[in-house]
Amino acid sequence: MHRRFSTRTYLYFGIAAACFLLSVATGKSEPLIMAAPFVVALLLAPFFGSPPQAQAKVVLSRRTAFEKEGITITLSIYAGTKAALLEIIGVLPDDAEVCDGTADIVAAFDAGERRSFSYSFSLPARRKIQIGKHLMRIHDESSLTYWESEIDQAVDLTVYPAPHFSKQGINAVHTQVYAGNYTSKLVGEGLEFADIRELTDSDRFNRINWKATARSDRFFRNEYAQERNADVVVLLDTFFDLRAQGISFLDCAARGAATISQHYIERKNRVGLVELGYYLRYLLPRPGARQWYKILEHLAQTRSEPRHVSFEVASIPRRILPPKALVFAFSTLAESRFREACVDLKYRGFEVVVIHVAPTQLLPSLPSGNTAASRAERIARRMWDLELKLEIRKIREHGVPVVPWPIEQPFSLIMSERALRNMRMRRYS
Amino acid sequence: MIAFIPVIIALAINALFVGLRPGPDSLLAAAVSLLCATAALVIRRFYLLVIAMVISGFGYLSYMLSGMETVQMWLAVLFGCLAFLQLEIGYDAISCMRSGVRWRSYRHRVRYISTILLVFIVLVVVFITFSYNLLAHISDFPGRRLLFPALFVLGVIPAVALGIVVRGSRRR
Repeated sequence: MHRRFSTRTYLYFGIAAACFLLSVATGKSEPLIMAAPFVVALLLAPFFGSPPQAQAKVVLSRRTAFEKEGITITLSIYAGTKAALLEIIGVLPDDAEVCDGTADIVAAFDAGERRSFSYSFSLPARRKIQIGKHLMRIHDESSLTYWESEIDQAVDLTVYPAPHFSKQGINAVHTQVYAGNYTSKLVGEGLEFADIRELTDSDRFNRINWKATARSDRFFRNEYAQERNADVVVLLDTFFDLRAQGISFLDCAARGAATISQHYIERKNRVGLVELGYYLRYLLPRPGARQWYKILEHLAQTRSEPRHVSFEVASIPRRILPPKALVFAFSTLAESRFREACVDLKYRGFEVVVIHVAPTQLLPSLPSGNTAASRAERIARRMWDLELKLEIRKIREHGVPVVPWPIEQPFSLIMSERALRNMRMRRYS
Repeated sequence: MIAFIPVIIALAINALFVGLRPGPDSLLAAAVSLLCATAALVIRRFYLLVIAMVISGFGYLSYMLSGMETVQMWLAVLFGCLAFLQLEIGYDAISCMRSGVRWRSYRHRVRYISTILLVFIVLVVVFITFSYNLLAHISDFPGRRLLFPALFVLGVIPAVALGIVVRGSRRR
């Protein structure tokens, strides 16, 4: 523990010095007498403090949480000696919101006393951080000095992007070999009616269509569509990130990706994740809840790291992007390399849907007033908007649907919008 | 209620100076000082309390430069005590309100403040005794036989009180 002087010490010293100067200037002893209590306090301060003994244990209620979900920290403090005033300050990220209790704990402890305190907080955006660090101050009786130490019992905390529950989504055109919820173009075992054909020797009798059979002298049977799963890949544009007013593009994209992966994994599909940017990071498509948590873990750490080399679609291995997969690409479309990648994927036989987060909505608010700077800023943004619209039109001309996502709306609304669901139908009509 | 003790002390200091030196400037200084002291507790800013004390100090200074010497000495003692109390209690009140801790956690401060004030009073008695050289002027004092016992009592009582307070605080 390190001993430090509090601000009050400097204040008292200043008062004493000012009174001394005043006394010298006026040639009177009264100002000196006036400052005497402060001098006495300063002189007696060392006799009031001895090195205190205190131990603290930090326990985090959970190691993983979703955005805006409460996390509780419990502090168990044991004071070996008497602590006149013990102050503990929790070191939390700037944007953390304390929802229950307080991260600044102040209490008085008797020798040998043990007490527990707890407080809850939530984090507004995904990340992987170390949490649990606290600063401990033990004030002596004079409050002119204090003993300071750091409780460094930090543990890893992963904040997952919060998915928006979505019932509706795009049905994949191309299905895969595993059983799932989508009706395949191929006939076989399933529930959805597909066709009627004449009964053969190897057919089961429970599939006979009696109405059709009654109209002719031959036996007919129903055929059903196979129920198969699909491969879905979420493609994230990590060429660059935009952040304004506490919201970043990658945070929004991570929430969208979490929603999509939850929706498709619940429906027995295989879902993968690819970060396309200066680095290629990926998760192979797999089904199941475990894969969803893997995706969330991955999304919690997604970031943009610029360098002089970048990846393109041709360099992505086949097992990462399975043939005929349904690809959701999250992008601001401000980067030409990502736009080209989307079109490239389309011509490689993938079913691509681009979720477009307009970069202009992630910029800082316009400067107020009708100044030359604000006018120039407004014009520049307008021009950027028009350029992006032109690029979007070019992408759409290649048959790639682009769905705009206003970030103030939850992604589930975008998923359920008729426009998104019908987009594929328009493409193939 | 306890949180407003610094305001009450500021009121006492300012009332004292306004009473001793009535006038518009004293009244204005007193009003500004009280306003600062109240604002310090309402918006929980300690520096406002220091400003309130400094403004009161100016009131005392103007009185000191024009008043009688003997009265000024005891006024300085009184003002020093009150200013110290105002800052000590005010600082604790503000930090208490900021942190949301109960006043009970600050009970040890009462012992500390009383100890400091007792030491201060003992020092003042010693200082005044020697600086005014009372012993040199008491040869014709009619009750001089009682003077030494009186000075002894004046010195011993605060010392014993101080001892009791310090011992009591250590026991606790």
